[in-house]
Amino acid sequence: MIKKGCALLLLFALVAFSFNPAASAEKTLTLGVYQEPENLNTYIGVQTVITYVHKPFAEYLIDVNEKGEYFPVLAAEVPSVENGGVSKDGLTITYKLRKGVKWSDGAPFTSADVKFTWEAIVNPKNLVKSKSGYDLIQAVETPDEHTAVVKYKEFYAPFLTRFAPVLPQHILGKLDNMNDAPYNRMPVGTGPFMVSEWASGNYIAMVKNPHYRDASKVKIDKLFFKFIPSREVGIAQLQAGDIDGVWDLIEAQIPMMENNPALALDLSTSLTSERLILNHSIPTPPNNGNPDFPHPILGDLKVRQALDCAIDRKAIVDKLLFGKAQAGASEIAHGWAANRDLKPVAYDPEKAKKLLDDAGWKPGADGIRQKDGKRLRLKITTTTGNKLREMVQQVLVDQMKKVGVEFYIENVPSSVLFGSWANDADRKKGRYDIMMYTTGPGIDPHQQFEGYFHSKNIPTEANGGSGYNYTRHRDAELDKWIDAGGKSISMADRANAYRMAQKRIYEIVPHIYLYQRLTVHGFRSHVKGYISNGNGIIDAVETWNIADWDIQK
Amino acid sequence: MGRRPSAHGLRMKYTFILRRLLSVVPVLLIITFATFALMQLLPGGPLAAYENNPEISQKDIERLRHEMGLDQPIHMQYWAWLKNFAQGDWGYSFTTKRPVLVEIWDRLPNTLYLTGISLIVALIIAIPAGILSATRQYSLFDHITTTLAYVGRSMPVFYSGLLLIIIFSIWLRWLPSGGMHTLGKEFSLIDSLRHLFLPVLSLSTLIAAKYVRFLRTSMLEVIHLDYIRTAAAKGLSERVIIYKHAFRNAAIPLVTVVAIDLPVLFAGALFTETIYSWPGMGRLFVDAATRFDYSVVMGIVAAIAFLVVVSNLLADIVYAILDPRITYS
Repeated sequence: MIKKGCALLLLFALVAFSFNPAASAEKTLTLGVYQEPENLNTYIGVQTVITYVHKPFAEYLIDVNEKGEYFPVLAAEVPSVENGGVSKDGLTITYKLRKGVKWSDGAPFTSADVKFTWEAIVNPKNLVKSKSGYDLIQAVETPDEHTAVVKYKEFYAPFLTRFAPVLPQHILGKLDNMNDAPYNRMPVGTGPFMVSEWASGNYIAMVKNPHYRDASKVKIDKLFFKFIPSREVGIAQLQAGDIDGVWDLIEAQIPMMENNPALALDLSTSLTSERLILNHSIPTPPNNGNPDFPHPILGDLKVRQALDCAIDRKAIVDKLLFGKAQAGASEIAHGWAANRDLKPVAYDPEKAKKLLDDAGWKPGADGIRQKDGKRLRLKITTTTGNKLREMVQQVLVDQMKKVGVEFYIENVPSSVLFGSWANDADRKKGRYDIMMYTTGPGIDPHQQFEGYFHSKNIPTEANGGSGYNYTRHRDAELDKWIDAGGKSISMADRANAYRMAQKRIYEIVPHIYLYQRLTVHGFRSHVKGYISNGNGIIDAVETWNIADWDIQK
Repeated sequence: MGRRPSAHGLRMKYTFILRRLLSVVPVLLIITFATFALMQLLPGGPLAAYENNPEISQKDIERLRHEMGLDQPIHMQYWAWLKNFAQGDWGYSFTTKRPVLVEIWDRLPNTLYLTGISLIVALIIAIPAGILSATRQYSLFDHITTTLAYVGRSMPVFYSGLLLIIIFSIWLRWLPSGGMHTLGKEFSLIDSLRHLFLPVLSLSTLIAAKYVRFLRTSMLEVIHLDYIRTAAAKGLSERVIIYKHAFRNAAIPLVTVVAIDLPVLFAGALFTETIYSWPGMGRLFVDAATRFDYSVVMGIVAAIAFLVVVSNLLADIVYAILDPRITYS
């Protein structure tokens, strides 16, 4: 019996080992992703991976290139005041649409699709995640097939980022709602590829879209997005050659991959940055989170500035991020609204000590500063289970000790840290000293600036806990620049307003920017044609130019 | 074999089975309620992913909370789920918006394929190995088997699996590192077997190691009993004694263990599926749990709870077939 079993196993092994399937002439590209998308409708689904997977088939009216500039995709040109696409009051946006575009089922793409996209998003039956901007549209007029006129009730500064992507009216228009529409798993798009199969838990397969306007240009024949349980498994499969690319690695995984000639790394600086968020209001009940009651330590600008220059960003980047990240300086790292005059705050422990002396915090017996019998002791909170963040925290504790500040670590799971007002989350209710996490603006920074930095967006009982001004700072000048950025129809004026807002943030230190996150993708070196792009309308994703990718063995 | 059961015995048997089946109801109620309550106690919820996205306003989150029925009191949410479940409606996934049954149905065949073959391979290895190592106690074979069983049992799959991938996929390049078949190629049996090899090796080692130890212990007990000595004294061949007389009795504990393991066939092997990116039930469950996809989690938990009760019952029935001395009561 044993012999039989062994013989069977041996036979099985021989058969399995001896046949290596031959390479086929078709160019197949397999990309690994760690999450299975909930669906492929970005208006409903919330994960970043959806953006990554939907780029090959879904197209926007306007998209963003690697330099952070807008470029037309389904629109024929980027509307502006100069080319007559934007009215003087900024309320009417006229999109001239690209001609000869077809959906992957052969139906023509027209202005009716643009109109329908707006209708679908504001349709109360659809469980869309956000109606921002669309709820300010009064009407979408379609004077002809290739013109869509969008009329806003009030000026919406990030209007170029809407209609990303455009939905097919001839598919979804017939349905009562799109929540469980077949489209969400088997979408119809205008991009270079189309979804051909979705094997649940396994992969999403795409093939060339025969109706794509530049179909002859597309070099890849088949595209697979394979769902892989973790980054470690993803790297193993990449090394084994079972996948050609793996999405979204972390900085710490760079060194182990850099020396392998079969692999190539694609690094881009994202718009998000890891930061410290400093509570300006008292963290203890009953007045926690009320900006009228300042934080006993962090309420003082001098203390915030002292913390800022007590941090050795270079040491953190060099030691923990293998020199692969950039020290953080401001909210917008790159793109059209970045303020390039702002440099990372220099590491200067002597200046930090002097600022703390001036603020009245004198060194005590054990080296930790005191004022009126109170120790300079602050809690630093981040999400549990993130090794990099935990290491950064420990370095910060050390660096702070050198200037007489005591940081102590108390971390919570991300669902607790990022909980809602209804869930009584500490962040929403202002019960923290310092939080550390990553956030950042989209290519249009308005939502981020208004949400995180405008005084009207402090979460309170009265506004139902909406808004992201968790630091609870109130600064008239900052409000003024944010408002100016949201009101102007001139991109130059808007850019200037956001630059001034960044400068003001630099001065009043509600956030301390630690480092810019890198977006890291690993590829087999035979994959060619990708261009790093840290910018994006929804999320920055590498698949934005996948029509140009190739495989060269 | 066995005695013919009397009419009274038969009736006893059916009432027993019926009673055991009815006990499924309170068990299911308790388990599903506990699962539901525990998930509600956790911070976060199906909308947690929306909270940190500046694009999504608080107003939108409140609207979605209401539309998904998440603003209802917890007991009302549970009651709504239970009512639908009793009528065969397992509900819709909160994230994919697809029916829960479709989600499960998509994954179940993959899991049964992997776990079923692994269980069979494990039994093929474990039964002869267990018998031999017991009948030749302290022989070289016994020492090797026992040692391997300990190693197999104590080495976690997430370690041994990665080791196997590094050796066979990255260094030797003999076998694929994961997935069910090569993407972009026509389906072929050989390709499928190549992908099956490492996961089955990992999983069946784990199962076989456990069964070998069970079987060895119970064989050792049985072969020292009087009736085996009697059989030997009667002059029966060793083969008949071992396989017909000893094994049949020694197999009873093994049958219980195998039967109780059966729901695992359905639940999937989480670590094996994760290491080898196998699209099975284990990963569905973990993904659903981390996304607070209540309806999917509840559906899987209810199904497994049901199977656990049924397979325990099955174990008892098989028990009685194997050992006529056992009566239902």
